[in-house]
Order: sequence, then C-alpha cells, then structure tokens
Amino acid sequence: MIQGEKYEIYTATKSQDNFLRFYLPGGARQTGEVITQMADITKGDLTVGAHSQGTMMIQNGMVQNIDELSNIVQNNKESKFLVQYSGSPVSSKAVEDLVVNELYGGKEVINNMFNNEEGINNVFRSQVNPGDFIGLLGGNFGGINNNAPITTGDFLDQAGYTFTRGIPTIMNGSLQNNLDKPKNTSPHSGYPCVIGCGDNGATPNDIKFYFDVATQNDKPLSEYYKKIDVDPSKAKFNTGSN
Amino acid sequence: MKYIYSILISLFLLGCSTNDIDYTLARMAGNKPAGFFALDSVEEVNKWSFETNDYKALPPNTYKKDWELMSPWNGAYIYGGISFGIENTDVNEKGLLVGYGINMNSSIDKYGDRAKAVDTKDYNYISDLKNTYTNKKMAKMYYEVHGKENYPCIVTETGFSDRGVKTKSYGCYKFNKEKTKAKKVGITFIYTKSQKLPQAYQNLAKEYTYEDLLKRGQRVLDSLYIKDGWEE
Repeated sequence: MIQGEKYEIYTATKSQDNFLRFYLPGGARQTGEVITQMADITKGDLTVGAHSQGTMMIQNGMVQNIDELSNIVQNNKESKFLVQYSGSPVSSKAVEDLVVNELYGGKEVINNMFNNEEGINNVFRSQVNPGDFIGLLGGNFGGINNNAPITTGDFLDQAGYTFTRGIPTIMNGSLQNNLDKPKNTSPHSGYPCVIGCGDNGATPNDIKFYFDVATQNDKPLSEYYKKIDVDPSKAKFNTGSN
Repeated sequence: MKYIYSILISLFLLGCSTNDIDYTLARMAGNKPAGFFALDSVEEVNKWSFETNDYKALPPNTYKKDWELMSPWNGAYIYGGISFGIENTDVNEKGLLVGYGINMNSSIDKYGDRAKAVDTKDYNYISDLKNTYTNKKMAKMYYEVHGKENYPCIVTETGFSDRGVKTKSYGCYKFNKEKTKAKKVGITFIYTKSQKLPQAYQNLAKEYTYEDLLKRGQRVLDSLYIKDGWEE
C-alpha cells in the first residue's frame, strides 16, 4: 500500500477476548490476504472499512481471495463479516453482489443468520455524503447503497447536486477544517460509522442512522448531513433486494 | 488523481452556472421526491400509508401524546421500502435513547426452499436453522398468518441486544398461481431502549414499550396487501 493510502483502510475485529484496530499495509493482494487471515483467526466479528480509493484496494483484495474468504464466512456461523465503504468509487451494486452472493451465499443466509428480514443492511453499507464527487465515479450517490448507473435517468437526476456542491469544495477537507464556514466542507471528507462501529461492533438497526462515538448512541444521518451543510433530501437509502 | 478529475470536470462545466446545470439535469431525469419526511399529526399519519409497487399497508396507531413526548412520526422512502418511526425528542443531541422503528421492504424471487417452508409451515426448516446458526438459538422463530389475503409469514423475534434493541421481523409471502415465484414483504419492528438510559428518560421508556410498539403495529400487519406482479 502506498503511504497515501495509510488512513484509507482499516479492519476491526471483535473477538471474545480482545479488540484490535489497525491500519493495513500492502497492496490489494496483500490486503485481501490479511482480511482472509483475520476472518479465519477471529472467533468474533470482523469489520472491514475503507474510504475513497481505499475501497478499490479492499474490493480487489476480496475478489482475489474470494474462494478462501467465502469458505471462511460461510463455514463460520458464529461470526459476522461486515463491510463499510465510505465515499467509494466502487459501484455498491458490485460490492453487494460480491458480499451478499459470493461471500455469504445469498440474502436468505444473511437473514437467517441475523434474525431479521433486512438482507444486505446487515452486512454491507456503502455510504456517500450527498454531493461527494468521488462516489459519483462509481455511480454512488448520497445515502447508503444508493447506486444509479450512468445509463439511467436517476444518474442525471442525482449528478446535478454532486457537480454543484461537491466539485467546487472537493479539496477543502472535513468540517473540522471549515468550522467557520460549513458550506465549504468537502462532502468527500468526514464520514461517520454506519456498520460494526465502536468497541462492541455496533450497527444501527435503522439504515437512516449512524453511530455517534461521543454518545455511543445512534443519531439520524439527516442531521449529520445538515451539520456538514449538504442537502439531506439528496440522500437515498437502499435496502437491496432483500 | 482527485485534482485531475476536478480539473476535467471543471473544464467540462466552464461557461455554465451551477444552478443551470442542476436544473437541466433534474429536468432531464424527472424530479424525484425527497427521501425524508415527517408527519405533524395523527390525522396526517392516517392519510398516509406504506405503499410501493409491491405492497400497501396502513400506518401503525398513533396518538396525540406522541407529538408531545417524542419526535414527530418520521421516515424515509427507501428503494423498495419504507422506514417509519419516532424517537426521543433530543435524538440529534443525545442519540437514540427510546424509539420505535418500522422497516418495510420487498423482493421477488423464485419459489425456493424458504418460500416453500413458509407455504407449508415446515417446522423442520426452522429446526434446521436453529441447528445451523448459533445466533438462531437466541431467537424465537415460528409461523403466523397476516394480512388481507391471509399471507403465510415466518416470524423471528430477538431478545434485547447489548445495545438495548429488540426486534420482531415478519417475512410474509404471496405466490403466483403456478407457484414458481414468491413475493416477500419484510416487516421489522424495532424497539430501542438504551442500555445506558439516563434517569430522566425512565418514565418515557415506561410509556413507550416493546409491547406497545407491537400493539400499534398490529394495524400494519392486519392491513397488509401484497400486490400482484412478478417481474424480478
């Protein structure tokens, strides 16, 4: 992994006795191998998270290790393998197919394992702040698992806001860098956690919420969007084909 | 890389105001409704319903006190689904401490093993699941019948998680005449009572309970209508 990617990928494991969080070194293949090894060694849950181009690294890594990883995930009924992409240029539809169908073996397996009818929301969330231009490169728009391929009218509908809000501010950094002028905040920077969060691997049951570290409770994503001065009405949520 | 994309797109857009571009693109695609919504009264809620191309159902019972003690009933339209609920009034500041949530979604699939098990009330299927999934042993699972056309449903009920969340999920099915396709409507009732609930919210949690959510939600189940149409 190049140095610039250092903070773009993380994994977090929650085993019965310990908790680890660290940054992965190496390229896509090594990344995939490390994920596979960690999925194999943990008796608890494994969360893989990535931001921006880091998600491409994770995606390629998982694809390259698909056979071994799917074997581990499908044969380890006690553990959860969770994936969060933030501001990703990888189509969330492609990840959905990989995680739901290839790794878990289908949505029914997921529903059975997680004791609900929520399908993909249990295991994979690709979240994009409304206006994030990097997300648009993969057809991903504001919200969670909101994917509109370039060939659809929905792409055009949503792309307008991304162009106008996201591009002029793309290099401005997160809210912390723009406290005096939140509307300058880059939608590509500053992403809250939405799956497998915190020390106990918390996941908001409601897809419209994120996990707030400060209160250790779930908060509405719509309010977070207001805080970074992006339009909440541009966010859409996809529960996938449950 | 980010700079290169930025420059390319900026050049592409040169000469147009951002408002023009936004308006033109939106017009080309057809304006879409906003995802989030909030309803201001019992009357407004009763004019509204859960409805997509696959299903229709009435909202849960709501009372005037909800708007006094909790947030307005609010939700979002989700692709293929709807999410609807209420939370403690200061959820934006303190996070979700006490709340009701109802998630609905749908899918159309082949008449597979799960659909067949629900259709025939196959208790061996449930037993096998409990033997296969460790997490399943912690949950209650059974069959019920709900909705306007007596849809067979598989019900999964979980206890309070370490986050203070308790859920009851219904997977209700309708089949095509040939029984080659199955349309499932998933309804999940989510009750939250934070494990670290401050003293000031104890009374609220006594007023808003898991049992109350299910009682209110019965209206959703009773009125559920799964529409025909079998294109996946």
